[in-house]
Amino acid sequence: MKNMIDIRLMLSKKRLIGLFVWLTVPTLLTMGIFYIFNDVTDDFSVPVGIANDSDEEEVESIIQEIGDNNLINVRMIEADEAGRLVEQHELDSTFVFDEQFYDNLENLRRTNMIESHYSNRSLAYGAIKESVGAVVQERYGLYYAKNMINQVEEENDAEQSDLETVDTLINDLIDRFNLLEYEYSYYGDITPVSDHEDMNIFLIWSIVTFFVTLFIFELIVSERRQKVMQRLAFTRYNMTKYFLYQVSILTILLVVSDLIAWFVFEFFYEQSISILTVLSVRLMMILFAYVLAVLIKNVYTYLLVSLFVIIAIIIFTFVLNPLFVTMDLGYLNHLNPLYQFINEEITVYWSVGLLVIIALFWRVRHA
Amino acid sequence: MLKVDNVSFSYRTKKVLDNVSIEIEDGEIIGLVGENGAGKTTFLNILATLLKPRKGTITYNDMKYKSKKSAIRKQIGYVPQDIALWEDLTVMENMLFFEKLSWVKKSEKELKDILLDMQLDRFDSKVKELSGGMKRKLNLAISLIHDPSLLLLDEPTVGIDLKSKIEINDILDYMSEEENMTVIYTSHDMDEITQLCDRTIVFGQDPFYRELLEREGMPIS
Ligand SMILES: Nc1ncnc2c1ncn2[C@@H]1O[C@H](COP(=O)(O)OP(=O)(O)OP(=O)(O)O)[C@@H](O)[C@H]1O
Ligand SMILES: [Mg+2]
Repeated sequence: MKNMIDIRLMLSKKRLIGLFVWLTVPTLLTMGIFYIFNDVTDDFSVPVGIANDSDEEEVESIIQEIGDNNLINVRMIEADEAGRLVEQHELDSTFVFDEQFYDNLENLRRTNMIESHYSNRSLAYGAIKESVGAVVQERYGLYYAKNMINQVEEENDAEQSDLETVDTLINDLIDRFNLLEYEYSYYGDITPVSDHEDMNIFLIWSIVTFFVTLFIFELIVSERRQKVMQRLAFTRYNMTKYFLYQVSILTILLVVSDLIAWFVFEFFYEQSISILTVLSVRLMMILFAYVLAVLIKNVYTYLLVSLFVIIAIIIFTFVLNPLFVTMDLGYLNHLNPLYQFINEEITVYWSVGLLVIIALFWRVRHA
Repeated sequence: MLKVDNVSFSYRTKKVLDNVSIEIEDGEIIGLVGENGAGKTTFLNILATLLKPRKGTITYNDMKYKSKKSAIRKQIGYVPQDIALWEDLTVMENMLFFEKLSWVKKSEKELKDILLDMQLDRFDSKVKELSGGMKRKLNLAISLIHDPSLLLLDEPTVGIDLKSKIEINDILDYMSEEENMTVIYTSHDMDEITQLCDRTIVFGQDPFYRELLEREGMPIS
């Protein structure tokens, strides 16, 4: 093995820096793409100003919840600038939670709880108002329920458990909770439009690293074509053995690069996936690249096919897979080699298929 | 001793070799001659185990080609017709590369000695910067790393200047005389063949080469 590493280094001497660059590409490029995606998401969101004149923590948490909506980009402002900022079109709309707000909430006074400002250019005002309203409505519902429960308790304490009263109260509560659920789901319907938070970083990574893997294996295709390879017959290694060693070395390097990616995403992006899932998709990629490199003799054809494979995977992942699900053709999703990985499963089907192809290939050649 | 017994070969439908038989003693230098497409390279590749004969048997030092292929390969030094080198590596790196893959370990000094034997001292030049003659020398030197006893060369002196040609011929002569190496090679240069070879094998139908060699008094098998 040491000899093999030595000659790998010898052949890659000039390309050594390049090779290491390639190995960090999956992590770096993924981070880049992820960053751009998140930035775009910010661009989609509407700038909304919120003024908070209340000291209550509860109000803070309501505002925080409003900001959790990707559609809304919250900027904290002073109450007296609320009108001006909308007039100057710096913000789409503004909402003021005044000193009275919490008192109103607690005592279930629901009219004029929030002051809002918007202009004729506040295109998103309708949707924003709904969203803000939904958050407040939800809190209001909770206070309402709390109030009811207190009332029931008080009446029980007084040992005047009038069954009829309790029954009405319970029904009232149930109605109220149903209403809440309804509002809640309505609120949920408008958000997914621009909700990119589900953009899994490992999804991007798997596509990038697949590309890099195919690209690195071009080395095998171009080296195998060299005239100098006919000398391998008169060395300790025949062609198959030589390339098996070379593939092993590349595999080790790629696995190291995978672990770096895994570590970065796990600890800096807090997106976790099991290492076994990563290693299984790595095995599949190596087998895929190996089969491609064995089947295709010409370097340019190889690169072209690799590019085509990656484009096909991108189309599958972002367009066809969701389509297949809605068309009830879920099994077609497995045409995408990354499908199991994307679903955080261990990649099995494609690896088995590729191994069968390799076995067939060996049989044909040795027959 | 190399024994070739009734060997025939054809590519699909095209018959190239028809019942070739010859016995070659250790230390002999044999020239393979004949017009283009006569089958010299094909025969050499069969002797190098790279092609299997359709008919006939070959044995080297009592080892059958059919059953002892890998043992025989260790004994063979093969110099391909094309220059088979890493163009981007230096002369020495090319030597080291194949030393690492070789059955026989050689020190850097021993590798340099092989190169110096053929007047090649530009160890640190890239192959792509070398002249045709120097490339041919390196092409030969690599084949000698594992101390073969049977050297097979396909046009080792084609397209190079007279001085390099003589230097390569001297090496082949030395290998056969001093190391008792069996040398089998192809060439279109009849002067070279008549000077260097002990015997020749003529391929093809054209009587031209046969007549020419007979006039020179060269033994033909
Ligand atoms: N791989 C192949 N497939 C089919 N035919 C081949 C193949 N290789 C060689 N031939 C044919 O076999 C014949 C012998 O070829 P070979 O290369 O052995 O000739 P040669 O004597 O070495 O010629 P040259 O002097 O040009 O090197 C030629 O007619 C050639 O066209
Ligand atoms: Mg030839």
